[in-house]
Amino acid sequence: MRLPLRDVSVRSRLGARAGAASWSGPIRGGADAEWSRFCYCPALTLIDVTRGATTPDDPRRETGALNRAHTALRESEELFHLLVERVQDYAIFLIDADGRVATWNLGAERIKGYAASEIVGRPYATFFTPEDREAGKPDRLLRRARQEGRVEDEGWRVRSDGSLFWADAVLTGLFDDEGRLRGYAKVTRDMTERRRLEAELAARQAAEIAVQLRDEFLSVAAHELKTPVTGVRAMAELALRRITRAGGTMDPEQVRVALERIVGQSTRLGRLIERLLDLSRIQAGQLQVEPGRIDLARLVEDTVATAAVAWPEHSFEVHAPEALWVEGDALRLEQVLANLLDNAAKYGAPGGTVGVELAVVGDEARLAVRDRGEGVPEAERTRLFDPFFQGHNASHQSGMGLGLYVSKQIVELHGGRLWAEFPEDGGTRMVVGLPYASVGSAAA
Amino acid sequence: MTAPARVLVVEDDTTIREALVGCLEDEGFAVTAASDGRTGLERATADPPDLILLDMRLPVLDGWGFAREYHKTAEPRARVVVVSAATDAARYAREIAADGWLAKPFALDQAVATVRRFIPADTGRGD
Repeated sequence: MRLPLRDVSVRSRLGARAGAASWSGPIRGGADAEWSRFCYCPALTLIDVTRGATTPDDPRRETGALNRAHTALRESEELFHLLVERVQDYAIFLIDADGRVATWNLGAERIKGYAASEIVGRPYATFFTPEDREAGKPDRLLRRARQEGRVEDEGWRVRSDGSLFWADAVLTGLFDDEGRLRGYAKVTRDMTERRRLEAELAARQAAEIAVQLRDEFLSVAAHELKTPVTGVRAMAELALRRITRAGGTMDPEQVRVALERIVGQSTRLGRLIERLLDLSRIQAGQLQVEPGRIDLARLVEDTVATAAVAWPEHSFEVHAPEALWVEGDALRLEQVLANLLDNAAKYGAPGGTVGVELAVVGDEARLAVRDRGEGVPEAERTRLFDPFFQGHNASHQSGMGLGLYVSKQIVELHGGRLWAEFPEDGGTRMVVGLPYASVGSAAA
Repeated sequence: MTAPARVLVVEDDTTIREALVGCLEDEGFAVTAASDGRTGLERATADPPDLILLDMRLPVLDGWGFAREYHKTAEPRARVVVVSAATDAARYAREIAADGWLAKPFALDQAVATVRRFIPADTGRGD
């Protein structure tokens, strides 16, 4: 094997260092010597053939020098062959100008599985997958190596037994002194293992992020659950302390207030737990709806009435027809609407108005809840329906970031959709669209 | 007779707030309350208390904002006790350089004991 040493100065410098124990320096190649490599060559036994041949004063010495030079050159070539042949980690081989394998080394045999006798003379395209061959990749790489001097490629290659390996390959065009293409040098490394490790690492990192998200969620959930637990406990203790203090009695009005609070907080606790169960149902693909014929107008009226009690400082404005019948799970849709009303009251202007509209638009029954709050920052809009996403007032954390996520799943289980609109004049408008069949409604 | 020690409860959860107010009043403290940080700050400056029980996650102005603003007000300032979920209470208290913390969920006895610990000795009880 010969290196395409076209640069005379490099050759003479090589010559000047003939006989040295080692050599390092730049070697250039390619059609116009446009690529270069800084090389280190141990145990260099090159000899300056040119100078030996042109020493005129002693013919005997000249012949001796030439013989020695030829021997040294042969030894050097043998060593170089050995070097290339015995490298195991890289497939290093030559491809002729027609794209056929011309030489083979141990690394190539180890990586690709062919013995030299099986592959030399066959097209190098043999190493590519049928898809790559069909797409003309082998020829395209040769063309680029010819035109650009070298080309790098990463991709799947086929071993002799048909198995695939992930190759990192460099293809270099080899030109003679006249600039004619002599063939190509191909150096390939099997990166399958590295690729597998990288994939494993990525999977591990993804798992760590998932665990981190879960931990954060658990911390938020625990925080959320602690508030009603604290309320229940404090109210019950207050009542007990008062009874003890008064010698076994307590003002009935105070008892009523305490019990009402305890009921309220227990209900809230139950709702939070229900939400957590919804999350695990969704993640297990087990969230179900039980549709029946329901009057959405009635559902709106009832749910808004409940919200009005929970948010006494807000006013709720409802625009809805007398009746609007759809197929749906009344309890689940009430959960969706209650959540939207809750968000509108929570994130809307304090003491502001929450607008509720129910109407048929095309083949959809649309239920919209509008607040007049700050809206949602543009950067956060895409995450609005993500699980664990918290509203914009992050420091006043309230809720577990599950409401909209669960609501969307419920609406989609009805064959409907839930989306957010951000009107120009401010606030947020959440819209539920449920399938609506006008024929069915006429029969109702 | 010494004037009762004054406690300001800043807590957005109605039930917890009412229970704390009722219990501390029963114990003879003069208690005022606020459900958000801004109102809490107004109460704290208009009628300076001896101790503030401060929830951290509050609407309008949160506990951190409250602490920042409150530290700018004129002396003498009240002791501040952070009231928050157990996992966060101690950390939040450090963050705002509070005098103490009370972890949720708490027993009312604990709340009373904490308040007594931070009320200056020369401020007597009202009963």
